[in-house]
Parts: sequence; structure tokens; C-alpha cells
Amino acid sequence: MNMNEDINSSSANTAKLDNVIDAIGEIILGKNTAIKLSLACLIARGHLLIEDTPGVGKTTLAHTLAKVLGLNYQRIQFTSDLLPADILGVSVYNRDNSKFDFHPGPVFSNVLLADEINRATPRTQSALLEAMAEYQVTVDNETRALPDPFFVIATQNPQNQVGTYPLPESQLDRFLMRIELGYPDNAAERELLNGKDRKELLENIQPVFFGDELIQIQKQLENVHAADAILDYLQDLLEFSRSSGNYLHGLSPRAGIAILSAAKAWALIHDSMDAGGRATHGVKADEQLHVLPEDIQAILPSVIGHRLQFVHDVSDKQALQAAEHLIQNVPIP
Amino acid sequence: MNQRALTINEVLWLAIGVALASFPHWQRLPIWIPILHVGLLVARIYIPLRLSLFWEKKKNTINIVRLVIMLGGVFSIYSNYGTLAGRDVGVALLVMLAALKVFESKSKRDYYICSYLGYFLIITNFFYSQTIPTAAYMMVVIIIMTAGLINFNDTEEQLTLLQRFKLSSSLLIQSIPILLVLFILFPRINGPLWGLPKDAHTGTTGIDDQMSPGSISKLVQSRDVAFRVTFEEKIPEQFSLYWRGPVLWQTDGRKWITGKSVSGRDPAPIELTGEPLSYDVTIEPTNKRWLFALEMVSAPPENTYLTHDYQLKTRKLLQARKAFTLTSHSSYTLGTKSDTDLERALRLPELSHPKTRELASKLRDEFKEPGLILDAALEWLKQESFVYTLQPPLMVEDMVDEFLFDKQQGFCEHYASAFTILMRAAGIPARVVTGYQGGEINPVGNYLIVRQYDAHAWTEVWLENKGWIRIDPTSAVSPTRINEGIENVLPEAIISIPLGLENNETAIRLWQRLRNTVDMINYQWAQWVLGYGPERQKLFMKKFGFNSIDWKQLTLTLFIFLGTIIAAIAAYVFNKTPKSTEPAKMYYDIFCKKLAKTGMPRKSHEGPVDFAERVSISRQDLKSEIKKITDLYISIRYYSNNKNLLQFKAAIKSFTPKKIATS
Repeated sequence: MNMNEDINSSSANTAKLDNVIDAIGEIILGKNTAIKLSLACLIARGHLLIEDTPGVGKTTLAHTLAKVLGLNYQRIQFTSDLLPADILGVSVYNRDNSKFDFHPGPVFSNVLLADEINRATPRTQSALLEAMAEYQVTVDNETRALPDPFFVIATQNPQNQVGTYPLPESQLDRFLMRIELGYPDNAAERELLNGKDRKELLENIQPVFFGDELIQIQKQLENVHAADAILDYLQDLLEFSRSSGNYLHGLSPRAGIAILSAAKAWALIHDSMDAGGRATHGVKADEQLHVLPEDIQAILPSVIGHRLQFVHDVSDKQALQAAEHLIQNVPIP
Repeated sequence: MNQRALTINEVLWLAIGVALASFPHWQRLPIWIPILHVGLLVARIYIPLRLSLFWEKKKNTINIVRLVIMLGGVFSIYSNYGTLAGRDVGVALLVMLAALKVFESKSKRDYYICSYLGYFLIITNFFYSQTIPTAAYMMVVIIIMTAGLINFNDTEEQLTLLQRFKLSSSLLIQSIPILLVLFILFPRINGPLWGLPKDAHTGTTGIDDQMSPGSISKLVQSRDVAFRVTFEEKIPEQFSLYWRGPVLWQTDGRKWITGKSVSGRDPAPIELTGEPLSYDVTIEPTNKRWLFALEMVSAPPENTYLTHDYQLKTRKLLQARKAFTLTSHSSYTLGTKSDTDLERALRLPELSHPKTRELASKLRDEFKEPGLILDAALEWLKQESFVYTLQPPLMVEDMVDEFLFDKQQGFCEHYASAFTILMRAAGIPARVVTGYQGGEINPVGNYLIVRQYDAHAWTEVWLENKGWIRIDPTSAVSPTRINEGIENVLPEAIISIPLGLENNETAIRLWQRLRNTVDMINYQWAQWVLGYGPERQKLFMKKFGFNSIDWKQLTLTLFIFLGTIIAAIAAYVFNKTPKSTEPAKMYYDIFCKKLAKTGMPRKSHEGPVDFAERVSISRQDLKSEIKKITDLYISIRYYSNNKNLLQFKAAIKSFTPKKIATS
């Protein structure tokens, strides 16, 4: 009974997810899937990595997300001379009370926009590590909690570009999703060229969520039901990644958890949409939300794309993305 | 799990099944057994409801009560029947103890034992009756019992009541191939495995070994079937159908009996000429030993023998419907074994029938030759105004004289009796033969039904150079009786038409056709199901090239067939049933298989929504149906909503996509 009331009170918030997607879609044109994926990532309390060539709208997407979700955000442009203190903050001696005062860095915000994260040195990059994993930072032997919610939305240029330091695997693993934007299609590009300046639009954009509405939605994730059949499927996927011999390393248990929560978030987003193809699967208002195999398949490339690699000698499969390969080789039980 | 208590619902199923299985026995048992039976069943249903605590606390008391009921019941049955062995006692014990077992049943194991008791009770009904209605009733009880077992195992109530009965019925239907193999191939032995008591077959009507006025005309009131005959070729003409039964030698002037022959048991010499005629006779139980064959049968079939005067008799009493294959010759010369026999055929009661003797001596003086005397006597019968009737007037004093010269009204027995006596008085050896004459052709099955009202009596006379020849005095008086059957002579006495339809000819015809059809079904049942004994089995096996097959080979064949059938069924089932433990997935796989047949296979990694969308694009006609099924599947499989399983299953079953030509 309690659960039903919960669902009813928060279904209004779920409905607002539509507005979020619409609002972002007005600025980032023709990238509906990427928008939904990034939204799912944040609902699943995951950090997001947007990777693409410069100029396709990575930073704009990150900004728009933060603004529309009503979160306060800080932006750091990563450069090769960026130091950890620039992110975490510093203690400065205060003469008035003869103490060190802590000046919090940009990490003390709801959203940290880490632009071109792979341009910073590994030392600086790893400063983010603790923050991302533990939701706290330790400066001068003092541990300080980060606000809730806390996300890192990082953008990065493809690895082969000049002046980049590839993120270490451990750090890549901290990101729930890695998405790519890609070039806009013809129509979207024309609209982009015809329309107003994106920066101006971004400044005028109104938040859709206020206060703890996002946290409410995140809590709803617990109510999304993953049936045994879904867990079977997920385990089959993990098992195949580990035992097939096609991949360098199998997926970790953390990857498994990441897949499940991302799939739940995806199911939640999709449930709020009428025209999303999923519409109403005999799901009545009083029924719990549930994860479908399609939900897992939808988020899988983004969730495991940066975690799963082919072993080198399967060159004929190189063309195929590892995630796609995984999906096609594991039957749905 | 093993120890879980039975629910009231389950006990109810069990009680109903056992009660229905024993129901046909009730009328045959002492009244207290059915009462105790029902009482125990009802008690098992109601007592735990009301007094479950009491039930648990007074375990020992209840045990003693049960013991007392058991011992008391067994003792009562013993004192009722005077024995504890035999069919009736066995059934009585079974009916009582089955109810007692239900009464004490508590666990899963008890439930199964009671079920098997119920199945066994069902079989015992065939001790008493092997008719189609009995078999049909037993089938129904089997379905109910099996549905009860299904109910017992369907703890999650996944099936509706109707579906349980459907499943139970289909289980029964699936057993038919094995039933057929067992029926056809199981080695048959002669006679029943155990003897049934002699009193099991009283009250059957039929021709007796004695004849007195009124005995046959009484039989004629009965529409009961005496026997049915299938001819290998054409059914012979009505007038030649003389079914020979008991031959009567001895008379006191009123009553005829077989009497004792002194010339041994071997049949008299016979010379058979003409074409042999083959036919199958299926005789109803008579509790006697006569078998009725067309005159004159050439050789006795297995388990029968011919008496000296050519009565065909079985070695055992005919207590069940039996079929025999016979061959007869319509032309024959029947000899005699000795002069003693001829002398017996001349004996008359002393000082009786003066008028008849007078007529006889007059004929003998006038014609001298036995052949001529015979002709003259028949001619005399025709000339006098004899009447053929079922209601002859009362003849008290000298029956034959009164009949021949005074009343002149009678039935075949009067004619045969009087004519034989007349012949004997004239010095011609003569005897009375009883049996049946004619029969009714059933056009539906093209066979002959001989009923009790076809009973007849005629005379055989001995002529020196011709042997025993058949003379039917009735035919001299009423040729129609012989040529067209008794229905045409005495219709009002024979054909029963339902009230109110007497004047509607179409209704009468329909009624007759219905009767014929029912009789044909009964006949086939008797011939092929009940009559499937060792002989028929041999015949049947011959058709398949097994010319001489003994029981060992039969058993081997039986096992080979059974093995093959079970293997085939197993292969089919394993192939058809997808290997999934989850019912929803299983049915969804059937759904996918159906679509795959139309050229739209699901890829193994394709989710249900994706698949539905992909198929719907090319198959707009199936869109709504596919969407419904997919929605149900998702709600069951991914939302764990098992309530929809039935609906889902039904939707899959009724989903029959047609293949469309792809361009």
C-alpha cells in the first residue's frame, strides 16, 4: 500500500521527465537517444562521460543537463597544467582567527562539468577519483562530504588527438556511461544553422526540476522491478563476456550492477513517454514498472563500451562494437 | 510437502470420484454397504471442518473407531455372503474398504492410494456389465478421477475446472493407441480367468429343452435378441432360415421333452450336398448350451459338439455373449443311428388322441406309402380351416384331438406337436424340432437379427429313402409366417411403436431406422469388443500375415508395439515441448515457432517488444493479436504477474497466423 502511494505521488515527477527531454532537445538538436541515455545515467546516479570530436555539442549537452535538472554546477576546463587543488579546493590561512579556512573547489557542487578531461595530467585526473567513487574529498587530512546529488559530467576528445592523456581503466570504470554524440543529421544541422545562438538559448533555459525532485526520481528506481528472467539474461551476458574468450577482460560485478541500474533508469524514462515505442505493455497504473530485455540492450553499448574490449587477434570482429557483439551472441532466456 | 494435509476441496474430489466409481455396485450390494460407504465419505468431508481440534486430540479414539468399523464391516459381509471369496464378496469388501480408506486419508500418499482404489473400483464394474453405456459411464468416472488428481497437483490453481477436465480427457484420449495395442495383442485365453458363480446369469429368456402349449407363444411376446448373424455372402431367403435348436422326442400328449437317447453321443450319419454357407453367429447369453445353426451345420466349431440328433451344443453354459463361425449346407440327407431311435420316434402315450389315431389309420389305409401319407396329411391341414394365432382357445382335455378337430386355432407349437403325433399314429417316425425361423435384416449393418419372437417349432419325419426330412406344418397353414417373417403375420403383437406415432409412417420408418442403428452398434460391440476371444484374435492376426501365432509371440509383438508407440509419443512430446521450465517462456516459444513458420523467425537475442514491432511492420493483419500476446508475455515474464497465464495460453492457442506469399 505504501509503495503504491509512493508511486502515485512521484508519478508527477516521472511525467516531468518528458519535459526535461523536450527542453534539452530544443538545444541539442536531433540527439534524442543521447539525451535520454545521459538522463538515464544521471537518474541511475552515475557519472557520465561524453566522448566525441570537438564542436559536436558535448559541453552544451552537459550544461543543458545541469541547468534543466535545476542543479547548481561548476565547470572546469581541464588543461595539462591543471592541479588537483584547482578541483578540490585549498586551505588558506586566515589571519583573523589564526586558522586555515577551507575554500572549496568546484567539486563541491551538484554537477561538476569536467571539460576535456583527458587533457589534464593523470595526477589531476586521479584527484577526481575519490570524489567520483566515494562522494567525498579529503583535503589536509579532513574528509568532506560532497552535496547530494553529485555528478561528474566529463567530456573528452578522442584518444588519438594531440595533447591528450588517456584515462586509466580504473577511472573509466567510475563512469556509468560513455556516450558519443556524433554529427547531427541533415535536418538537425539545418535547424542548427538557421536557429539562434546556442549560448544565448542556454542562458535563457528554465529548469524543469526544482529542489529534491531529481532525488525523488532516483529513489523511484528501487521500485522498478527486475524479474528473474531479466536477472538471468543479465547473468548470461556477464557470463558470456567472461567465458567466451572474445574479450580481453570479462565484465566486472560492478559492471553488472551498472547495467541493471542503468536499465532500470531507462525503463523509468521510457515509461513516462507515450510515443516511445514501449507505450503500454499491459502495464496498468497500479502495476510496478519492470525492466525488459530491450532496456538492457538499449543501454548496454553505453554502459560497457568503455569496459569491454576485444582481444586483439579477433580482427575480423574489430569492426563490430564489442557491446553489439555481446548482445547478438547471448540469447534472451 | 509430503506431509501436507489434504484440503477439503481435494477430499471432495476424492469422495466424489470413489462414490461415482462404486455407484453402479450399490444396487447389487446389501443396503447397509452403500449407506456406510456414503456415510464414511460424507464424514471425511465434514468432520474435520467442524471438529478438527477434536480430530487431532482424540487420535487414539478415532483409530479404534476405524478398527471397529473395519472389523464390523468385514464380519457383516462375511455373515451376509457366508464367504470371503468370490466376485460379489470381493466387490462388497472393496466398496466398503475404499470408503474407509478415504475416511482415514490424511496425506498425499493416502490420496494417491485412494485414487488407485477408485480406478480399481471402476474396473470391477465390468464383472457385471460389459455394455456400451457401462463403458461410457466408466470413462466419465475415469475422467473425473483423473481431474481430481490434476486438481491435487495443481496447487497454484493455474487451471480452471474446465481446463482440468479437458486435460484429463485428453490424457484418456492419448491412452487410446496403447489401449488398442493391448486389446488386440494381449494373449487371449479360453474362458474367463476365474469362474463366475452359476447364479450370475439367471432370468434369461430363450428356447428351452421342453415344449408345452404356450411356451413358444410366450416367447413370441419378447422382443429380446436371441442372436445375430453376419453372412459372408448374401443373406439367404427368409423361408430357408431354420435355426435348429433342441430336438424333442418324447411326449405325454401335451408336453414335449428331449428324452434320453440310447444310441450314444456321436452324431448320426449325414450326407451334405450343395454349396456350403459360412456365417458368424453372435449369441446372447442364455445360460443354456444350445447354439442355433442353420440346418444343417457341417461341423461343430471349437468348444461345441453335435448330439446324435444334430443339436449343436456348447461345452460350457452360454453365460456371456459369444460369437461362433459356422458353416451349413442347405441340402443334406440326415440318417439315423439305430432302429431304436426310430422306434422312439413312434412312441405315443397310450390310449390318447383317439380321433387323431382314427384319422391316421384312415390315411394309412388309403395311401399305404409313408411319402403319400405325409402329403395327404399336409393336404388335409390346408383343406381344413386352421387359423394361425397367438391366442389359441383353451384346450383342456385331449389337447391334440381338440386342436385338430375342434378348435383348429393354434400357434406353431400346436401344429408341430399335433402333426408329429399324427405322423407317429400313422406309423411314420417323427420328432419335434424347436428353434427359430427367419429373422429381421438390419439394413444399417447388413446382418440378421433373430429375436425371441422368431421362435418356432416344426416336425422332422423319417422316410426310409430320404432320411429325416423337415416338414413345417405351420407353413401349410400360414405360408406368410415362413415366407415373410412373423412381423407380417402378427404385427400388432411384435412391433412396438412409441405412443402417439402409430399412424405416422415416416415416424415409424425413422423409429425403425434408429432401432436398427442402435442394434448395429450393439452388435459390432459384441462382435469385435466382447467377442474378441482367442478365435477372433487368431483370425485377426491372420489378416496381418501371422498365420500361427502363439501366446509367446503375441506377447513379444505386444511389447514391440507398445515400445514403438511409447517411443513415438515420447519423441513427439520431447520435440514439441520447448525445453523451458517456465510456462510463460514455453508458450512464448510456441508463439515464436508459429511466427517462424510464416517466415518471421525471432532472433535469439531479440527482445519481445522489438520482435513484435518488427513483425507488425510486415504483418499489419496480425498487429493487434501480436501486441496482445506480447503484452501478456511481458506482464507474466517480466512483471511476474502469473494471473494472466491462462489468458496468455489461450491467446497463444488461438493464434494461427497464415502464411502470406512474399513478393
